[in-house]
Amino acid sequence: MRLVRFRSSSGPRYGTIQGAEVAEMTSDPFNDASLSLSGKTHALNDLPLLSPTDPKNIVSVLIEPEDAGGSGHGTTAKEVLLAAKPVTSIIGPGAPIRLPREGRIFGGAPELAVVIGKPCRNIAYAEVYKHILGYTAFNNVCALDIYERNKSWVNASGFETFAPIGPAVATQLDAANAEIGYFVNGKPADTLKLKEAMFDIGRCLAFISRIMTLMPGDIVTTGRRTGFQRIKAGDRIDVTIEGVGTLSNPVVDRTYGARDIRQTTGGMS
Amino acid sequence: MKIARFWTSRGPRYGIVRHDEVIELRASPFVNRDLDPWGPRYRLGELRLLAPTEPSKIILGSRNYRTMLKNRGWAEPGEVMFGLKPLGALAGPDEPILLPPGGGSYTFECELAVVIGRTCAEVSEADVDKYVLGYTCFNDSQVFDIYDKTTLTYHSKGYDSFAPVGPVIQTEMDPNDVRIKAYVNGRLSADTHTSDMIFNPAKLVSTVSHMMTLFPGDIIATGNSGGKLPIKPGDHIDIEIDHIGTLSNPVAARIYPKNAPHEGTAISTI
Repeated sequence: MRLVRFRSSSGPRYGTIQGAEVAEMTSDPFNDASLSLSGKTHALNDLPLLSPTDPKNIVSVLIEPEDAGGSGHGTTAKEVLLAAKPVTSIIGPGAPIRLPREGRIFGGAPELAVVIGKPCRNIAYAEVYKHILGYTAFNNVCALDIYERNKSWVNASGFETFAPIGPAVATQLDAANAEIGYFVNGKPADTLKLKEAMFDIGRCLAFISRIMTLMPGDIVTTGRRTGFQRIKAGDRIDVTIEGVGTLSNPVVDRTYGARDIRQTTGGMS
Repeated sequence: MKIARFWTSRGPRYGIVRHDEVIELRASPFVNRDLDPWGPRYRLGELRLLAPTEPSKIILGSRNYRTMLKNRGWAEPGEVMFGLKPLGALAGPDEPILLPPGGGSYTFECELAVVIGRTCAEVSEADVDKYVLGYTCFNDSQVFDIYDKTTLTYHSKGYDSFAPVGPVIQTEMDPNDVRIKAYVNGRLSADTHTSDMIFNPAKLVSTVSHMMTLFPGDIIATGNSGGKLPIKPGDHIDIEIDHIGTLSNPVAARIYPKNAPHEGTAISTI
């Protein structure tokens, strides 16, 4: 099943994709695991899609591929590095990635996002998959020159719009074998093969749940620390996962002073 | 004015603290800025205080005190540096800080924190006051070994209960001229002053507001002022800031189920 979130006159709604249509849900998948439908349907093409979740925490898991050697921080391949983006960095399909004046060189990388379905605290490995709602595509955008200069992940990758996510949450994806394609202006630029990147998503989630409590809607993204593709204003970025769909976002320069202030914590644009 | 959040039989409520009395507010100070104290009244000593805010983000300013940087032999950064804590790290006054097993050393830092009152973005330094509700004490706890190994703070500082805040939000004070003191088991362990900051709270809020929209309740901790102070289970920490009061938290060991052990920095092979 593929779940989407979309803007409606009565606020954000969830639905499930059925061919070219979206069947609207009565509630959201975090409160209603049975995913009951309201009976209303909409044409998928006409729907203003939002980020498929509005998380409280965005956790990035970074594991160096085994053959990459030392990361410079004394970690080995099985060790995990955790970083975070603020929730205000989230945008949905089609919304522009706005490049801020603080940076000069920008990059993006393909990642798989795990969407949490139930609260996770001190989870045993055998129980992990019951806590996952599904998987979606994630574009990890970063100001590369800021990261190079000060090594602060939040300063470099925490800008608004730097976490495009979507278009849908696939509840049955074979995540361990997922391949995430990254396209700049339609040209293939990169592919993340989760198998080669040594991610065991279940182990990552169990690990994180013993540090911090993850809440329904939270996102855990799995990607690499290096190998960002350069992006610039005017580009269009597509992140594609078979079974999820294509997350497509244009890139523009951020304008200042005349924009509407966001009215929610994230996920609305 | 001092704003507290506390538990009642009707759920959590906000109130104004006057001496040893608390008067309940009609609405959350993040919804209604008029701070209308309409009753009921409570004795402060009988209330279970909660973290005085419900943030959407916990933002950490870092490398922001000259003396701390000098003591560690670090250069002053030419720019404001930020980190984040997960929301589950938030804890209230008197809630235990739970240390996971396996760490060789654990530390905390005593900090002044800004609490945002109104939604804002792209705020100039001169306008910051319009969007700030007030200031509170912040305890930035950490598993030091994990920080030492990874240099990324989201893991080492992100454990549940590692961000105690409180006891109240002080809405009327000059954050650039207050003393911050920390006590471990009643013994003075740090004694610093916010005039030692490189980037003052207005500068921190203005800078971060250009990166991310700030929402009512958001916390911006202004950085480690007194060094990383060692703690262990059984300790009791007090952070005292002029005009705000004292944030007190016991330290205890976090207990894990047998089938979900704490794994430090490395994923086990199961």
